[in-house]
Amino acid sequence: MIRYVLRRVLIAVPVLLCASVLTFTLTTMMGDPLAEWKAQRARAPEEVASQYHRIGWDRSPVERYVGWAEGFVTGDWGHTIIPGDGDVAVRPEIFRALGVTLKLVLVAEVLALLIGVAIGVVGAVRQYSRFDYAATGVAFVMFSMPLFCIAVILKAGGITLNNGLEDAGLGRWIVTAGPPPGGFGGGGVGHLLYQYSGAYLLPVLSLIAVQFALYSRFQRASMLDALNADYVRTARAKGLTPARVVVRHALRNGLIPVVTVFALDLGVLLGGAVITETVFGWRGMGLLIVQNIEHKEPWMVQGWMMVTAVVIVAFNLLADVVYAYLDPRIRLG
Amino acid sequence: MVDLVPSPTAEESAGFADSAARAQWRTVLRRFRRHRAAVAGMAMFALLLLFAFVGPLLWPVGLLPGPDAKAPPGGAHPFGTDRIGHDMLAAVLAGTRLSLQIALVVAVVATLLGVVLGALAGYLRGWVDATIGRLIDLLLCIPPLVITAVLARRSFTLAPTAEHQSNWITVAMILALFTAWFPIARTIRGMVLSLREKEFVEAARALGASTPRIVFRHILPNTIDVIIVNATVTVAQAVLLESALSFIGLGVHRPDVSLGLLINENKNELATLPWLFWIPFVFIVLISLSVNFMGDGLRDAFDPRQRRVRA
Amino acid sequence: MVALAAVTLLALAGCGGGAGGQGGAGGGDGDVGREQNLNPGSIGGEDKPFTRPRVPDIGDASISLDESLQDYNNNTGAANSLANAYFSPLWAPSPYFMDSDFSLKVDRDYMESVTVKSTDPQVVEYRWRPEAVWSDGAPVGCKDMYLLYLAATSPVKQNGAQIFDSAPQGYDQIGGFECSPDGRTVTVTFKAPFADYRGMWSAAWEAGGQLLPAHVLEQRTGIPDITKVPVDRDTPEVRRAADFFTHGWTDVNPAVDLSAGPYLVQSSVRNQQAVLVRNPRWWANPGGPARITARALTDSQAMVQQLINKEVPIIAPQADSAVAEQVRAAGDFNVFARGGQTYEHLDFNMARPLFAGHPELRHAVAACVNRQDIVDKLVRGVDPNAKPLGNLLINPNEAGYQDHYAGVGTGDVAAAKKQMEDAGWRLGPDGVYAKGTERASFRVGHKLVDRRNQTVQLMSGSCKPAGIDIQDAGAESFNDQDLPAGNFDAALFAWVGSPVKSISSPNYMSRAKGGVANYDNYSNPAVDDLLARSNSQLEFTQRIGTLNQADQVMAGDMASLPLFQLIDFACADRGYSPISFQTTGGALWNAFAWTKTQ
Repeated sequence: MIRYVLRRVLIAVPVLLCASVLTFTLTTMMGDPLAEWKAQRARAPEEVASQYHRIGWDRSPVERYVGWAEGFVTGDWGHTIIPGDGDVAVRPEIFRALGVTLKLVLVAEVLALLIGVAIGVVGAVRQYSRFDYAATGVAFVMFSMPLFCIAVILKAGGITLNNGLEDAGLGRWIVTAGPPPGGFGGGGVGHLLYQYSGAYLLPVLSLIAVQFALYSRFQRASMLDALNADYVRTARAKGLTPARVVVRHALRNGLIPVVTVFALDLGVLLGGAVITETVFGWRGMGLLIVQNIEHKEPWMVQGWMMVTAVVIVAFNLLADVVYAYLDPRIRLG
Repeated sequence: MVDLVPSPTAEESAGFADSAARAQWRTVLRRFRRHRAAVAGMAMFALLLLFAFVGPLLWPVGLLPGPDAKAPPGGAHPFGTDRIGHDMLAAVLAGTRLSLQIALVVAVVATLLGVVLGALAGYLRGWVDATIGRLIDLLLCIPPLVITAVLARRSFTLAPTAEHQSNWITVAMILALFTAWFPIARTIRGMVLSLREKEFVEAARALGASTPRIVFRHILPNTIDVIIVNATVTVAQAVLLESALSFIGLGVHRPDVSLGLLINENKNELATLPWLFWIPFVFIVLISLSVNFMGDGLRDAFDPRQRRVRA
Repeated sequence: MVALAAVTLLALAGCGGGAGGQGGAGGGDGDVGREQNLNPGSIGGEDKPFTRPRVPDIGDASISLDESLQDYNNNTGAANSLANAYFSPLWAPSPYFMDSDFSLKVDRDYMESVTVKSTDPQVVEYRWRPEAVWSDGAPVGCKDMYLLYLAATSPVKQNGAQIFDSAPQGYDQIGGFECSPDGRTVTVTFKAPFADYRGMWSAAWEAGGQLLPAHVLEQRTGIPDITKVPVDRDTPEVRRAADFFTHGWTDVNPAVDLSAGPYLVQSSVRNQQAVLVRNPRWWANPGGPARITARALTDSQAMVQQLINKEVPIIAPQADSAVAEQVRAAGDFNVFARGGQTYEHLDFNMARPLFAGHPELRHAVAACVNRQDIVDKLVRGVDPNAKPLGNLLINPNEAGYQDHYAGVGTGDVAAAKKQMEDAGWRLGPDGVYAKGTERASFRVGHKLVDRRNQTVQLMSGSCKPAGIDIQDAGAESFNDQDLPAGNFDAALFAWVGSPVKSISSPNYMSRAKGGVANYDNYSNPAVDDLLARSNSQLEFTQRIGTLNQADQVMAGDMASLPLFQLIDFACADRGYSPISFQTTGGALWNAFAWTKTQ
């Protein structure tokens, strides 16, 4: 097992190296970071030259890449360089945003997984029942919907619900944009729970809506495979109770693909639930990248893409390891 | 996607008798017809195609704003008009057409690319396989939305000055090249890896058939089911991705009109002129839903193992 | 001299912004309405005074804005942004205050008086109040004013760039600068009559007018007396001062970012959230809110939902009809919407033969465009009082506004066709006029903003029957790249006007005469002369007359067609008042005067 993991890690290294070159190329392709600054007014050629020197753009792209890579490895990921954007250090900013996104995505993904697995299992065990048809229908509608529409609709619904709650004398529970300005706190555990749930409810629901549908379909398919497998038939033939067959035998194996997909998705989502963050005003990874691409802030975009690449590769690795752990046959292959 | 289905006669030496192949297709068709949701999906998709490509001939209202503004659906404007007098039916017709166009282009390009690269990787193995595999790993490292956003930023800066260009084909190409082909390539590679060891392939090789001939005439026809299903799903994903891009302002832009762009322009109207939001929304969902159901039906039809729990 | 300001404008052009104010919102005055006194303080006269009102304590207030605070020092080209200008008037001292009627009033909380002692040469005496101190107790006055003078005019360069990274605007007109021994009285002598002296050292002149605590710079750089550092020579002190000026006051650092106003910054997360609290050393009437939390939210719809959901009581989103309608329909809220300083206009590129050689085409386009229809459909949803704009130099809210474009841009197809046919154009088989090798067809470049896309569609729709083909050439980078480079047939964009009238000159003067922002290459010697004259006319009524004359000439040439004012926009819970918006200070401009009823 350790050998397997080591081998996978070793494969990841060149992939990340290539990723750094690719992301650097993409970042460079965004265009001249000073284009907007230069357009602001007529500037002396010396002034323009000095600005290019300041941001290091008088060096060749190769030199810039090497400089950046050295910095990245030693923990200096550069700063924002565009005039007016100030001098924000890239690394702490990205980790701050990652923290925001992590909280949001983790809660949503875990809930989506639980719901999706439950629906998938029931759907498979009672295939072609009314429940199965309904679940299938809902799942299809959910992943046929643009996520941003779900978010927009949820938001409108949240406000209506709040109005109803207020009329009932319960206060306005749901928050539509970001964590509350003053942060959480100011009250007992109950109050804290009320605040957290109010702030997280809508963005989490919007993420769940799509993800649970995906997981339920995967779980249903793998569960059906498992229920058809020889070992399950054997277990049934031995006379085990149906519940025991489903839980102990089929579910254990039927979970493998879903867990893999879960790990992969988590990695991708940590790279920012761009739409959810935009609609609900959470300053996480998604909003960070959208804004910095708009400004063409090269080191922020570069650092962001590298962090995301590392996270995705790491979760892919994790998925493989989990897979190998749950299904020992893989390691032989 | 229908174009991608080669005539069954292409399989003359592929280990199937002509009639057997035809019989298999008949079975698939029969199974597909039994899948009611899939048939409904297909009918819906056909209607949408008709709506998008024939509709504009029957509804010759232009895309420029007219005198009626903020008209609710009905009467002279079946889908209403927006704040400045655009006829929404005309806009939705154009938007549906472009969204479908983008989705179909993405599906075709991504399928071709995925099938060719996947087949090469699976058949040739060795360094070709490794290179293609790592390439996919690499592209999977960066969220597609971000790659597209960065490239879109670039294409705007590149746009010849004051020379407006329609950009939908750029959007479609970016989606096809950077997102949609990996799953197809991976699946095809897996299938080709196992198919290349089959007797009929060895027989063809022994008869001296060239590599392209073996791959395209003998191996790929056996993966046609997977290709069709994947291409179908790609259409649905492309419609959604295009709309997401338009939502963050990096997708299609005027004078092109897509459903995503219409929703983006009207997302603030949900509480004021709601039809402007709901109508394009319903059309996106209809396209995506009908295609997804079709894909599901096809998968079931091709893969009877999932039909019923045996034992 | 105006370039820096001129461009801030451009940066803003996509977004709205502007000015406004709801009835003396900040000041002791009542509602001044849309007309201001034509003679607010002609040379030698008394300017109107402004003092912050006495208001009750309303506790915490929070607001959502499109951008939040970035850097403390907004004077450098690198830092200058509208977002900073939202906040700085709450802590930066200033001899003049821009009130809701767009007039500049002497800020009596800071000044005992501002007096013009003589007109030839022009000598202005500034007397600061003895109570005026920075939040560490140091006096406000001579040193602070001198620092901006030095920063704006120092000829010292580094790597070819002006070392303080500041525009000279106005300060280069200073011939003499003297301080009284206590530093409370400053006497400034101008080389030539300079009409916009009120904008100097003032927040009204957005870039380069924010006074900074010069004594902090002295402490940090070891310079014993900043006023002894020469403005015209290179010395080690100048370089040290410039280094601190450009780097010491970036971002927010409470140790060096002092306040001499009603509020000071308690904390700030760059462009995300800023928390302001009352300045304990503030000597005049304390502001209403004890604490102001300002949060940035980019999406205007998200902001409205925050407001309607009662998460924040005050928002200042970009003006949008759907947004305004929602707030109005929701009931419990007030909407402030008024034409502001920013105005949208269509420029014809006079470097291109199609427009340079064919004035009749420019006039025909101006005739077939339906400005009223554009305003009705795009602006009235936000501000029901909106009208097409009739002057490029004077804002309808200002004194002396004259409409020089009445009867122009009324969607008059027949008039447009007549203009074309009289000049020998003939309708081609494609329904577009042609003359010789030229077709009456052109592209309108603009930044990709929904409102601009729609404007072009409306223009295109109303000019098509007149045989003029208008094509949409929107591009995301239009304002950054194509516009300054002159790469357009016609351009749709916005400028920001100001009570500091000379700000507009570079937009309309010939390139050779200093028209650095004259992107459409319009050139008329008569306009050059009139604009130059207006900038030295100290008598207000005369000056307005000259500006109107210049605008009249420009209307005749029709190189630029004014369309409408963008709307200053803010919404608030009904309990809060007076909430409004103006270019300098945004919705926070009168935060000290906010009151709250239950």
